[in-house]
Amino acid sequence: MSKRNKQQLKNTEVKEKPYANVDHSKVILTKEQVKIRNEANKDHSKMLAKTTGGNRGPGGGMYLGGKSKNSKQTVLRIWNYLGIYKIGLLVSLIAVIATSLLATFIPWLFAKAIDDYILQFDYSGAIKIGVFIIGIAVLTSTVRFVSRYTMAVISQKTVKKIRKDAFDKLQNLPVNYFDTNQPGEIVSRITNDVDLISNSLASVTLELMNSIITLVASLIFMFIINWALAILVIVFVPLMAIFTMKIAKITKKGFVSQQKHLAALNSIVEENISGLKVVKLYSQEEDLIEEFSNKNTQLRKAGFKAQVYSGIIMPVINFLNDLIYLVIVAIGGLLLITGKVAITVGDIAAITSYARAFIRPIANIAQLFNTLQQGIAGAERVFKLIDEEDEYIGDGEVEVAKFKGCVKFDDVTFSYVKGTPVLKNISFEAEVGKSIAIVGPTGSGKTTIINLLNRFYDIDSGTIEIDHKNILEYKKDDLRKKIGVVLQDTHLFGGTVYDNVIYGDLSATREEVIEASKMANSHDFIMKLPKGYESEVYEGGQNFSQGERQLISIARTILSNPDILILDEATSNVDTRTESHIQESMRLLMEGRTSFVIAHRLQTIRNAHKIIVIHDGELIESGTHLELLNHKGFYYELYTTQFHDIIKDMKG
Amino acid sequence: MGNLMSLLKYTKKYYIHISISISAMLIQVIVGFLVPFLMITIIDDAIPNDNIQLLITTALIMLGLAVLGFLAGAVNNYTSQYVSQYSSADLRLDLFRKIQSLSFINIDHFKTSRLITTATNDIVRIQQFYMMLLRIIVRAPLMIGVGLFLSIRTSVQLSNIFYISMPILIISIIVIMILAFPRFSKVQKTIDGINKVVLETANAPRVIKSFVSIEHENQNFETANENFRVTNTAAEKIMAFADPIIMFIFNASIAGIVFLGAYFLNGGDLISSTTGLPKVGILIAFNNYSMQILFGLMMFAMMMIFISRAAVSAKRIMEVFDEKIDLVSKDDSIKDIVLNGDIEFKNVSFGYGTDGNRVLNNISFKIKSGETIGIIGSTGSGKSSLIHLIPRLYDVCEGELKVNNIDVRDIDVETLRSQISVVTQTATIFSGSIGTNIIQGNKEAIYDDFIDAGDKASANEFINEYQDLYNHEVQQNGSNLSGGQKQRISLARAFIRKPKILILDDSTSAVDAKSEELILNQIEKLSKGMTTLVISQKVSTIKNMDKILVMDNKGHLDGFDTHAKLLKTSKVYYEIALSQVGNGGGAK
Repeated sequence: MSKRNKQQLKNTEVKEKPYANVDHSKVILTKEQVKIRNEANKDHSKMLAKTTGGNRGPGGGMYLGGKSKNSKQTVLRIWNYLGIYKIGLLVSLIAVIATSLLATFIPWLFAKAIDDYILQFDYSGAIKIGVFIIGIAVLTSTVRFVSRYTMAVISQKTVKKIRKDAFDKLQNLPVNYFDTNQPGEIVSRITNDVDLISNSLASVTLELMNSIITLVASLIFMFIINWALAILVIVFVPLMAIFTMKIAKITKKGFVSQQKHLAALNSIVEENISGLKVVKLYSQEEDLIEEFSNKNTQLRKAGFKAQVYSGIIMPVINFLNDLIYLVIVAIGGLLLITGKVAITVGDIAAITSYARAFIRPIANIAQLFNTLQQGIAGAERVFKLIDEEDEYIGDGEVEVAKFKGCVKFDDVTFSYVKGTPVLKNISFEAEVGKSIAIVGPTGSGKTTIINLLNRFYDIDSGTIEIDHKNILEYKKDDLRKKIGVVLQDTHLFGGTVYDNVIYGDLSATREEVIEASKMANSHDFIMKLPKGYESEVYEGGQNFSQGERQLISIARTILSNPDILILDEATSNVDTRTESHIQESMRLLMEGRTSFVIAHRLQTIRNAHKIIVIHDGELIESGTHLELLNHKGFYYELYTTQFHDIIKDMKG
Repeated sequence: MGNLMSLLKYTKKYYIHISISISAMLIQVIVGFLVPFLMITIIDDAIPNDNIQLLITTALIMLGLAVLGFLAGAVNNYTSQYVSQYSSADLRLDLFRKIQSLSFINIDHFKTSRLITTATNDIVRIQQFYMMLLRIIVRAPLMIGVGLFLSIRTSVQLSNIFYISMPILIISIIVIMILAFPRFSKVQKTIDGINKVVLETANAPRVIKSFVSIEHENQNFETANENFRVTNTAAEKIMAFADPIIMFIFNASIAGIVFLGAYFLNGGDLISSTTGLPKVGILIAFNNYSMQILFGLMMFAMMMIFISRAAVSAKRIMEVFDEKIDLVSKDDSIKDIVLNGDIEFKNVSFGYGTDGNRVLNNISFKIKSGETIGIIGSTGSGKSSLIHLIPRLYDVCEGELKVNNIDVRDIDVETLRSQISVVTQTATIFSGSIGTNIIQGNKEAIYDDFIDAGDKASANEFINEYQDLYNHEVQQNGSNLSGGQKQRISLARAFIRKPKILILDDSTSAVDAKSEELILNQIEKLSKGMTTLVISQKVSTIKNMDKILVMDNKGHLDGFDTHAKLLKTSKVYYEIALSQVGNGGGAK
């Protein structure tokens, strides 16, 4: 939408309109108020919203090395993970120190070769020292290899452990966590964030140590070789440090702004490409291109600024390199000629090398530190996941071998968000082996009721009993094993059809799997697939129709042999043949089991032993089909508008 | 690689910047070598001869050169960033334009997620390529070239070292790459394994918890996690070899210079003709050159990896650019037409692919202006495909589709679409505010129109609860709204347009029954001058409409009549009705 239209909209809205009972003096909120209210609104809807496919926008996953709270604790925790490999760490540490020290020897040897042998025409001496340099080089590389190798092994093991801990915790988190966190975000924690830790563990820690040791060692060597030239080099340090820090600060700000613009642009792209159908239907193309073009220019400006600032570091480092080089050579030469300080050509050669070795770490440290910060930020997010509250804490102790199936809701109130109850004072009873149909408009709380029975959520007040015992007293796993659930939009896992059916009971034999599929009326269609039970199922089951998915899931539930059943009838119109198959297998499944059905089809509703009608979170009517019709209440109205006329027409 | 080359055309516009950038880089590289070159003069001429004058002048020249080098570096930085940012911004805009012009056949061909990655990640990679190109790719060969030239100029004899060090480094790099590449791509695959298991848990926690299969999932994860650790460690081990080997080559070449220095002590261009002393300045300078040349080679190798990645992105971008748009308005298309609401399908067949598979077969029917039509049929029967043909999201494969008794393909696409409102099955909501979403339907809308549309869509009842009303913020994908709210906003967007043809594609499924009834009643009232098509899966929703179009599950028209008549004439319709009310309905 163009700016003009937005403006127009704003203007029109200022006009007073008598249509709503809204106090218009309150329409203008302060930014803070709007924010608070939006926040509240957002949380609520997020709790209710089913988690849809995660799309963490590209660019959204950028970490800008922001300040991390409790960095110290986080580092300590990583250290605890690493602590298991004390010997390996020690080896690696010693090796790093050795490498850095050995490497700093080489320029000194080069200097010696020039001063003591080549300038003296000592041929064999020079060869000897050359061989010695090679020896040192071999040693340096070997030791460095040892340190990198051990660190690679250790860090991968550590990262595996962290990843395992994160996943173990993920499995034990309440359903609520999955409602409020996008799948994409969860995956990103366990892959990207853990990778960030592994990066900073493996390379950065070593490089950082290496840089610091090289820095110190070069300094010492420079003083040993020639104190006057060493002081010259040191003069440059504050210059470098100040400059790098200044640039780093500007650059960081620039990058934050670039990243912000990139994220904004990417979200336009994402939004419009995924909504392209509507874009085209409402001919929004030109407006969008204009909006995109504006954002694109903004990004270009921000990106240009950030990149120019960050790109200037290299020329500056090069310049300082050259400067130090020539200052050493010129001043060194001057001192040599005037003879004020004892100095040799080899000294000059060595110091120029050290000066380089000295500057590189300074330029590196800032960069490495940034990467380390990212690692810590990643670690914090992972640890936050690991620290989430386990849903098995305070689990009940009663084990269940079999439920008879007597279920009782007594004055149950429940809310996803405190203060906005979704179910209010619900009481009803299901007798052993009987079926209950739950009826009511969309959003009335039908699905919530069944989510409470297997303790996906815990209630605010009241009690739910199975076999006259509060469900809180049962072991959660036992409770869930004994309650079978068939949802209308069934999730299948990636793998084969067979894998998906056997999921109901992993100890089942092949015969049992096939038997269950036959009972679920799914055997026939499975056999018609090109590879039968071994046919591939895509993640989520997208290559199967909704009806087929539901049939497979019924087979899965039959195999798991639950004592209590929860069924969610499909609302959408799968083709009539499949539909009658589903109805039939559901009926078979329900036989002899206490079952709760979220029902949409009249036949299912009528066949139920009891119907409960939920409206706005309250149980407003309950009874049999005939009882409720005679009552002439909400159910009667629902029945007549939705079904009665059609039945009449079909009769007539 | 060819794709990468064709994307270079975006930099053409900035040829001045490019030539400045390259010249500046050349200066920078030359200066980088001249500084140690001049140092030879100081060490080998000025110092042995105690020539302070020469020392100072040379030092000053070196200082001048260093400053020049810095300036050249800064200029190169500025111009190369300029080119990369501006060219990639141009490229990005062009790509976005192209994507906006794609037809749905084109989009189906690419898949939405792929287009998004191309427009974001792939472009960023090309942008980096533009920058690398001017800052590094051109630089590495320059460094090697200038370095070798000056080395040979300085001492032919010492230059022999490059016969050994360069091939060894190149071979090492190649071997390392050959070993590392397959290992790292294997790592990439094992990451997918981890993603899969985690995604499973994140997508279906209810299923996993219901079947209490945590143990099973943990086993799956352990396998994936261990697999990842093993492959990743293997790849890291290669790098643990690589780094020390390269380090050794650098260090050994220092020893090499000492060896050569010693070897040529008995004569040659290393011995000063005036003093008879060895010119150690040359040795020191040579050490510097050798480092720079080897470093240039390393850069070159890294660039090869980078270029191969950029080439993949370039290919994906070019595929989008090369896509032929198959749905365009004819040059002489009709622009000044007001739809009267008549729609006619005449032997229409349609399929998405070129494989001849049809989702609609030989469909014919006529809708008169102002009629309200229900469309019903099982999933996959082609209901949505049918209505998508009317605003020309797709074109028919055979037959004719007419409005106002004119073939839609003769009408300008935009003119046609501007008079039709389609409300899609899943509501598409854009970030912004509720108002910015609704106004998309009609840019000229004023406040009264908003209220009117909001009323008809039963949307005002929840909008009024927001204190900022239509200004209420909407997050990306409408994530702060419920499904029903999103549908009502998208209905309001359709109503505010005051369309001649209104199409609802099962778009009241997430709205509660009462509101649905209200909305449909509103449509009844509007029907004068507006033709309405309503796809629904519930017989109860459409039974009172003027006529109902029944699709069988093979894309044929099974019946087109009133509810009462269809119950008698259409077997498909009867079965659908039966499945929704059940056998107990007493229908015999």
